[in-house]
Amino acid sequence: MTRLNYNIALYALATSSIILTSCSDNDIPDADPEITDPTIAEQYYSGGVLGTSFISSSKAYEQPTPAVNNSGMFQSFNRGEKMFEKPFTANNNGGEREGLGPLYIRTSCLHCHPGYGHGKSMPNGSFNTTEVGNGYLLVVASNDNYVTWLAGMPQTHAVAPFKDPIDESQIKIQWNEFKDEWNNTFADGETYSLRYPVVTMPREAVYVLRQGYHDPNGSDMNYTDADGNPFSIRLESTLGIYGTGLLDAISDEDIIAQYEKQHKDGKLPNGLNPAYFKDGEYIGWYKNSAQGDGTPYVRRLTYACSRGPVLDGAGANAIWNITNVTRSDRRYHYLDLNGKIYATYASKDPEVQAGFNEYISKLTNRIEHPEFFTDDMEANVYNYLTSKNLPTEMTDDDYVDLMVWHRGLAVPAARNIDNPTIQHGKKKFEEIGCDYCHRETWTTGSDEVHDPNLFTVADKSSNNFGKRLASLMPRYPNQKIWPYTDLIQHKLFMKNDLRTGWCRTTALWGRGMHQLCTGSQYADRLHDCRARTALEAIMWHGTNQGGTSDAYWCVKKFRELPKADRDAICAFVDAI
Amino acid sequence: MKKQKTLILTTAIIVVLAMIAATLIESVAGSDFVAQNIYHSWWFISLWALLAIAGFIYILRMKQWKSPATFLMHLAFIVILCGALITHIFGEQGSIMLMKGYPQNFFVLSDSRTATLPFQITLDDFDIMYYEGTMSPQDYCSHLSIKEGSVTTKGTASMNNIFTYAGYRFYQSGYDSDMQATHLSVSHDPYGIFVTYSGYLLLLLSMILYFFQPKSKYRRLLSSRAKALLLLLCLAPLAIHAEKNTPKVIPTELAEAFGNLHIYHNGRICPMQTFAHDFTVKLYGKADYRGRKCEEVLAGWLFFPNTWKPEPMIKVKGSEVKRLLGTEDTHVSLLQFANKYGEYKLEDAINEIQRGNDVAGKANIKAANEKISIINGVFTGSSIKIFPMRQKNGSIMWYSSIDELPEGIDMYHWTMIRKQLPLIAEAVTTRQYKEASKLIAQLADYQRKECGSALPSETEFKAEKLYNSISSSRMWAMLCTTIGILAFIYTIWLISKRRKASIIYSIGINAVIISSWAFLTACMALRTVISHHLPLSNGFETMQALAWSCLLIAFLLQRKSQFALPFGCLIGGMAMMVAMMGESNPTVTNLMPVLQSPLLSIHVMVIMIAYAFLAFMMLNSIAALVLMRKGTEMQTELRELKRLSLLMLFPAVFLLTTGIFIGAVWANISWGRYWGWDPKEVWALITMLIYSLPLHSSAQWLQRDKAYHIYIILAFLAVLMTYFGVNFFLPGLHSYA
Repeated sequence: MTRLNYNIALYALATSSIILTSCSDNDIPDADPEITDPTIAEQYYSGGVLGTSFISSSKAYEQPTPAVNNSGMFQSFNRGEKMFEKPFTANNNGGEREGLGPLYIRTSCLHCHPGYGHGKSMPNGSFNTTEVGNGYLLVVASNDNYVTWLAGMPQTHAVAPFKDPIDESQIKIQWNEFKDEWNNTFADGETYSLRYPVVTMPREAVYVLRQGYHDPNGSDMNYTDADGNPFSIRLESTLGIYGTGLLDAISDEDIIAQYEKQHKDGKLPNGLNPAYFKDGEYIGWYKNSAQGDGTPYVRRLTYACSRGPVLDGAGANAIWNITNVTRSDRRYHYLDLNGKIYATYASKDPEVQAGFNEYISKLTNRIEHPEFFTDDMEANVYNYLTSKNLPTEMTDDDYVDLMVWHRGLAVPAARNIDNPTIQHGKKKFEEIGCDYCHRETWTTGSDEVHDPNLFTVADKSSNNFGKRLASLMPRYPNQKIWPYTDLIQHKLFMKNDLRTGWCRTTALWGRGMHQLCTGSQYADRLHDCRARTALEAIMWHGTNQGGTSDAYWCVKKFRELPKADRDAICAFVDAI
Repeated sequence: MKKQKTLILTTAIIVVLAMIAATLIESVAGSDFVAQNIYHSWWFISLWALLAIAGFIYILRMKQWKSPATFLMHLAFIVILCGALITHIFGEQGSIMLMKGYPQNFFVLSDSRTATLPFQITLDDFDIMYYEGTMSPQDYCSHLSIKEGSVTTKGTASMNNIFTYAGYRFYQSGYDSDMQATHLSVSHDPYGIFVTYSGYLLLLLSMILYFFQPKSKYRRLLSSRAKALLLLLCLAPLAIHAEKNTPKVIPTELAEAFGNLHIYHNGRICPMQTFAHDFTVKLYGKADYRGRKCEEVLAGWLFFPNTWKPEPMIKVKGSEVKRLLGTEDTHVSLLQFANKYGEYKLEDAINEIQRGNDVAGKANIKAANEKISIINGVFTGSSIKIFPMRQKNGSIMWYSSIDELPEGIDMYHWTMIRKQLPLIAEAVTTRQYKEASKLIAQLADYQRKECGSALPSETEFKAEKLYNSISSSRMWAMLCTTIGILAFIYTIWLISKRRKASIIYSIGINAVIISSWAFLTACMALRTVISHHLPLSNGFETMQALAWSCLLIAFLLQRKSQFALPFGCLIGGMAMMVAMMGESNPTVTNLMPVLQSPLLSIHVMVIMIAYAFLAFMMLNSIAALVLMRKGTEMQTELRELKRLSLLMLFPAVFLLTTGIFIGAVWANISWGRYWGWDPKEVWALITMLIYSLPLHSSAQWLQRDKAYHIYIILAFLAVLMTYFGVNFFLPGLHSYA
């Protein structure tokens, strides 16, 4: 070959090689064949066949269950959805969805449940409850008891002339770094960071304290610092709403059986909460004698495990107490725990007295409520605030719709659960014992919907006239569901732990979609959103501040796993 | 005479060096600094003046008027420079803010002095026109009235329309969010623009004339076998990374059925496949990904998002974007856009941009952000508008499954819109494919029933699908370009050996040309069927048309020149590649008003063709240098190659010049100034000046072959700097391309 030929050949080779390189693909394999392993197929149905929605979009928490559809309740569901999403307006404004106030916590449900999920964490700074997505509630307690001079869920807003029970602009949230006993480092060198919130609130922020109230037990006196005893302030974030109907469908007997099993095992250092289970017997019955007949039900909802059936659960309560919108069975206001302290100081407040006549005249008249229109203004204000027969602000129909929607929200299907890594994570999750408390599956009972309120729809304009609320609900009988909770409280002993330290095991279903559905910056796991990732949440289980965590043994095993296994567990937790 | 020539050359070199220096200084010291100290300085203006005057005297002394085209061409440059001077001295540029109903008679100059208007101007009203049925603005319109004495004149300034009154031109530049005030740029430069535009016109005429001038150097060159030809060069092979991640797909037949659904996309009803095509091309730059067709890719993202998030299929450009993402890769995964807490890595930069601040790599950051928005549209389902519903007034609205539905919607529609997609997802996730296929068929039925004849006809639908499936011109572009280059080399070799082309070569290259041409014909025909108009409405379509004509001409001219086929292949391939560059940014979102002007695509196109010539000349010169090493026996062939090179040099420089001036006209229409000393403009000018040197036969030292070829190769560095370097190293208006 001549030199020229050689050069040309080289030139040609170089050119064609550039072009050829672009043809080397690595192809994506074909779709998986029709499913063969039924045990994996069922893991997709987190909420069972009747309670799962397969949409992996940012609206995943907002879907109706197939049960809603099957029973033709979609109109009711849609109306309930609006009730949940739209803000309420002040109770003397003459607008839509009236009834806000006189004192309130948020103006709409969506404020605390962004995308229907768990609340979002807030950055360092003020406690701004007008921000949509801030799902934090304050918990102000003294020796583990709520202080009596505020509401259990303290209100920070009021409709004029009433004064905000707490001036929230004076509340500060600060995130502190935390080092665990392993200096936030795994044996292989991987590190993580942990943070926890510290909330401060000066005395002056509280209206009744400003007005001169002193607790005879001194709960208001000694408060100075963040760790302060006896008066502590903690944050509790809202929980997601989806899937509560399915938890409701689990039978009481099955939950009691779970208590009995754990009691028999005696495996966990802190045992069972003696308030709920004592001497081998379940004693934590939820009874409503105010509206209902006191029938006992097993408690299963909220961190404090304070609520039983959904129809008298956190949501049924919140639509009344967050907004202070009265309904036919609750014609009174949510005030401080004592019930009289705020009313007393507000009624003596000359500014409140000055504006009260104008306020009350828009609400009612002296024929229906002469007790609000006497010559004694102090008595008028006091009578109004403590009244038990206020005008109803929410119709029964609206309430029914809201409950249909509440009980009708589907759980998002698990994502990519048949992926080998995720299945490996599941195996490890089980091997190290996470599933002891995060119990993987339950099978619901016959789901005879319970309503401790015994609410009867009394709106004459309604087709449902005279029907029991419970009979109008979507139902989920005999569903195999995957909530990953034992519905029992345990103690983790975290820094700045929640009140009493007892916390119901959180349902993990759907939580991996939190950021997608709420637009939050972080995964916001744990009761005050302190964990920014699944890994941080796991590591908080083993921090042992002032006691031995019920999950310490499990976290130690987690630490011994190689990184690939740890990552697989986190991936699994995010996938379910 | 000799002295004067040296003076002109030296001045030109100093001007070029000064401009190079200015662009470099600008990147450090900022635009204002160089504008003040270089571009608008007395010495820089004097240099240009010196160049113009000396040049003018020189061409007079050379009696250049004897070849009128050449003379006019040079005269045109002098006129353009005069125009620039007039603008510099007499032109006024500034801005004016008008509040609705408040007359005003002054505006603020760019140096913040104020200038008086000889009339009163009032904003009567301001409105935004939107693309039908969307919230994306189509145009911003300020309705103005002008009062001079007792006469009132009304008019409108919008992004696509300059309002001119008494030599003052008003350009829409901004508005207050309450729509109570508008911001207009004001330009008053009646003589400068007139003179400059006359210069452009003169230049254009003289260049056309030049090709007809009997004694022109070009005609002499043309007398040889070779004819005038064009081409482009752009080789950007995509390195594809081997990754462990296995994204999930649905079975091919199911994906096909899915792609056969209708969707409301880009303001029209089209096959889901078109949406999938745009989605994949927008993200990845190609209509398929790792051997999967676009509808499989889209279905994957929709139904198995978690398996696609780690997939490095999002193509990003620009070092700044890569720095923010913390990667060197061109293809990144969605996960790489978030840190370990899930925080969006481009968030801060995007916020800055939205606040109107300048950010390094702005255009690339916006482009990357847009890709994420497109994925979000699929994640939230908001862009999957596949549920038509007839409204009470008979019109059809298309909903996504998350759209707010009308009050009182009936169960049938509600169930379909809210539940059908989750049901399909359920069947697909749990791998009950028969069920999924039934559900998709149900949805297709629903679409047909609800829309009736409002859906595209079967023929249009099939045409569009066929078009989507064949429209990827990548393979054809690559094929033509590669064959073109190889054929070129082969032809040189043939010449050097004084041999005839083999029959296999002839058949092969003809096959390539004919099949590529058939492909383009089919594409254009299908586009005509789908869009109901001839496919010549945008840059992509014109580029394809260019390729189409090139291939045809090459085929017809093959008996006239040995180089016809190689060049035809090359130019055709290059034109298709340029078209693809446009296509990889399909208008998923509507164009911003200022970019709508056809001048922009012509400007880009003309310059791209010029670059193509220059690139080819560079290759040609390399070939010549290689042949030279063979010794003296190649004289004839070398002469041929040089002639070929010069043959291309003329149109290249002319096109470059035209391109620059079309850009100037476009800038004048859009922004009110035709020349802004933007680094890309400056470098284009530098390139033009550098390449115009060898056009001048009086540059003796360049007559020598070796010097000429080396010069041409080195000159290409200026093209590279203009095309790539400016975007990487220097700031400016052109950072989008």
